Amino acid sequence: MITKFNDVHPLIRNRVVLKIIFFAIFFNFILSCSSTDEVVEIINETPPEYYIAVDGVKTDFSTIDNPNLSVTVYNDAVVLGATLVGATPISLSLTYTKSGDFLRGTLFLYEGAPYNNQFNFRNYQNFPANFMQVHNFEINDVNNTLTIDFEGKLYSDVNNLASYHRNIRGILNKNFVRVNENLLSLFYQSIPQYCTALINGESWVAKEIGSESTFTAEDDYRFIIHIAENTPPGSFEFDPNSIGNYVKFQRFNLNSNSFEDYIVSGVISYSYREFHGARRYSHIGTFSFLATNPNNPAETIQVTDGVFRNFQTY
Amino acid sequence: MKRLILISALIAFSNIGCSDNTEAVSEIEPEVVAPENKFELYVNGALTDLTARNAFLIEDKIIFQTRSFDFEPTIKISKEGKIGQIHIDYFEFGVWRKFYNFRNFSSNFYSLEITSYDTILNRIEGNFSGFLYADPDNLNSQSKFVNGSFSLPVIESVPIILGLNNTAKINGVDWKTIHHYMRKDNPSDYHNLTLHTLSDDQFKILLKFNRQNSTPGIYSFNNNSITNSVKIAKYNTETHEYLVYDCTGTLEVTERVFNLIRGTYSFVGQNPNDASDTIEVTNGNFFLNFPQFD
Repeated sequence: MITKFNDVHPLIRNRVVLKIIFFAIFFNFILSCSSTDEVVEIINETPPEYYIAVDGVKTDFSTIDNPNLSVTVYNDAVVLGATLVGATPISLSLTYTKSGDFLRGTLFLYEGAPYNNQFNFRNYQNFPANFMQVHNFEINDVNNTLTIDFEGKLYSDVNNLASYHRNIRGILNKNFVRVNENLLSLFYQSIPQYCTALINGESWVAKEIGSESTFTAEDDYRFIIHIAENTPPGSFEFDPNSIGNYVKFQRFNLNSNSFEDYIVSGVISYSYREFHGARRYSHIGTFSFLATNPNNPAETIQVTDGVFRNFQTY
Repeated sequence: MKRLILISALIAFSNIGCSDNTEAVSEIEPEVVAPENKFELYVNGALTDLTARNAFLIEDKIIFQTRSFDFEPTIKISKEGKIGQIHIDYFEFGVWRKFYNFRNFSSNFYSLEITSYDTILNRIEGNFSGFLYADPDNLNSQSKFVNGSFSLPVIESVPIILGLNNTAKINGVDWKTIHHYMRKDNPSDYHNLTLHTLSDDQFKILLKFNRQNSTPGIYSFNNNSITNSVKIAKYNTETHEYLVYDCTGTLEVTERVFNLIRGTYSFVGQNPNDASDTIEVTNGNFFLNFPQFD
């Protein structure tokens, strides 16, 4: 049975009318107030080309094309460099591997013209990639742009995570300059150095020298190579008790913030050594060994194809 | 039928209200006029040709810095308008000379007022006037009357040293330094030094260190302690001298890095001329650099 609207009880009829009015106004309001222009604007919004902040304060690099902010892509590294001369003179340099892991960074702040005091901050030197987080990293070789999003700390004491530090935050989408050279070539007292190996079949290349004959990279590994003075060229077996010719293999423990020796067993050899005066030598050689986690004997690491040139003072 | 007319009218009304927001706003919104940037500075009544584009906010301080051919003023104040340091480099008779506000109890000798500080629009307005002196400790030294006003945007800038401060409670009242300078305790001694920390009031807290030996540690001190100690001094506006109190207490140095020193202190000061006049300094907390000797 179909009931005519006018036949409905007036109270019910009024409620229905009021509901119609309410929904009509509500939907009309929603439809008329939503702006397609706004939607397009949001979709088309492009991210800023850069944002760099020190301790939460955005640095004033003033213009997008400011030449004081640069990205350089080398064969083995990406370097972000920024300088600012103003109320707070700043010089910032951050170096990443091509795969986007943080390797090293410096922040220099200058006090008072002609800059009598300089405050230098650097990355924590152990396992640096762990202490400068990279949330996004993309090298676009078509457009020659680098996209990067990073945050971390640079310290007054590179060995002390509790030392006075500055917080760095950056988001960039910026054109880069390509330089067909290697940036990360190692030198110690002006003598070329290198240390490469396969760690469980994966290529590892030293990118820093912490101290004499001590090789590290962006990750938690550290190699210390030692050849005893007056040792003739040859091959030498070594284990954790060796004190003459050996390789120490260490990993950085994030709980203790210190390097731990792995239990090693292998061979080191050198074929040539160069005299640099005053009981100083560099050795050219190879190594391979098996390393066992001291805290977990089931975890072993096979290090093969090790090649080095180190420097030692006796 | 009446209801249908009513519904139509309401729907039409709601359409009018929302259909073209932009036009409606543009019709009623007054034209926004950007405030004019202004920085005026007069020296002995003569307007200089100085201009400034902005002021800098560095942590809790506002810095005005600009220069012209023969003037280079720097005004450092707290966000609350307390005077840190006002000085001008002034090219006169072929040489650059410096003039400073009288730095002791500075608010008593120089007038500075922030008339407006809009932290949303980041804009500051105010004025200043008073004498600047060739010697910031000597009211009888050569002086220049420097006054002016500012209305400028404020740009936040990275502090060179983050967290520089010296704060304490003086007889329970919060006290905070705005400016500090360093003096040798002995002209030929470059190691024992005193950091004079000033607010714009009558008090001055003096921290005595040795550049080499003030390493992290806890130091008990009394009035005879040459170093690793703290004193309080009160400015007398009649004698124009500070009364340095006899002080006994504890200083802890917690960090030394670069030319910076960080730590805490608490002590009691006693007026050497009136044993009943004591000042209790608690919650002392400092992070200071060793600037060049004054």
